[in-house]
Amino acid sequence: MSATRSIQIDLGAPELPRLAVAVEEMAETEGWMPDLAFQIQLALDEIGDNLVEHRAQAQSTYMAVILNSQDQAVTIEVVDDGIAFDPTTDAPAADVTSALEDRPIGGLGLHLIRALMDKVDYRREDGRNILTLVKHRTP
Amino acid sequence: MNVNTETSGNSLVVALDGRVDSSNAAEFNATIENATADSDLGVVLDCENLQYISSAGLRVILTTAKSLQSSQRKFVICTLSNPIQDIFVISGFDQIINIQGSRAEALATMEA
Repeated sequence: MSATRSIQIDLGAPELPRLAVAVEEMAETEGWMPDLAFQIQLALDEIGDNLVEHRAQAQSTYMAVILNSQDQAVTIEVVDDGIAFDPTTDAPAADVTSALEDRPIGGLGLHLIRALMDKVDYRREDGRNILTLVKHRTP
Repeated sequence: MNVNTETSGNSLVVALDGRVDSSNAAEFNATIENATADSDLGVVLDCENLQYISSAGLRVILTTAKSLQSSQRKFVICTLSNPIQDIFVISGFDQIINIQGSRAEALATMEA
């Protein structure tokens, strides 16, 4: 089985929950394991939260997501029209080891994406940031 | 998201249900702040019915853990589903927060 779905999100509107709904629907029709749906939702949520939070500085207006589910893997492409930002190299590393009193609050989103996805690639094309995530369906 | 608070023995048990993400993390933060402010008991956060949490929710949990530690109150989280347990480990929260498999085990560590 395979399926593809595109969702466009206006970063200035509270539209991120539409991503979770789209993932749920694809998980159901494509028979994903529940953990896979959780992880894909989380990755999209973290990317979406970052884009919404930084949209003013990044001068971005939208986020376009293409979900592609195949038997072996799920591939997600996330496109935004903001200034160039490569989250695989430009974001500070998360602190996941300090003691509780020293642990900084925040900065975990990209760390979670990198840990949960099997592949995270960035490219800049036609004035857009394109992030491609791949998650294998069998561990 | 739904938060229910009850007292059990010497603990305040906060049961968190549903989904926590950026759309309701502020509400979750306010709710847990209010629930814990009226008491000086240790806190058990029971996640048995928590279906989903993103880093926006993890932020609230870390803030809560820091605030309880600074007032010398115990804080235990229990009954995490597998994918949520995974993200706690990836985030290194299992190194700084006491995580137990069940509410009974969590309450037992509060007695100690």
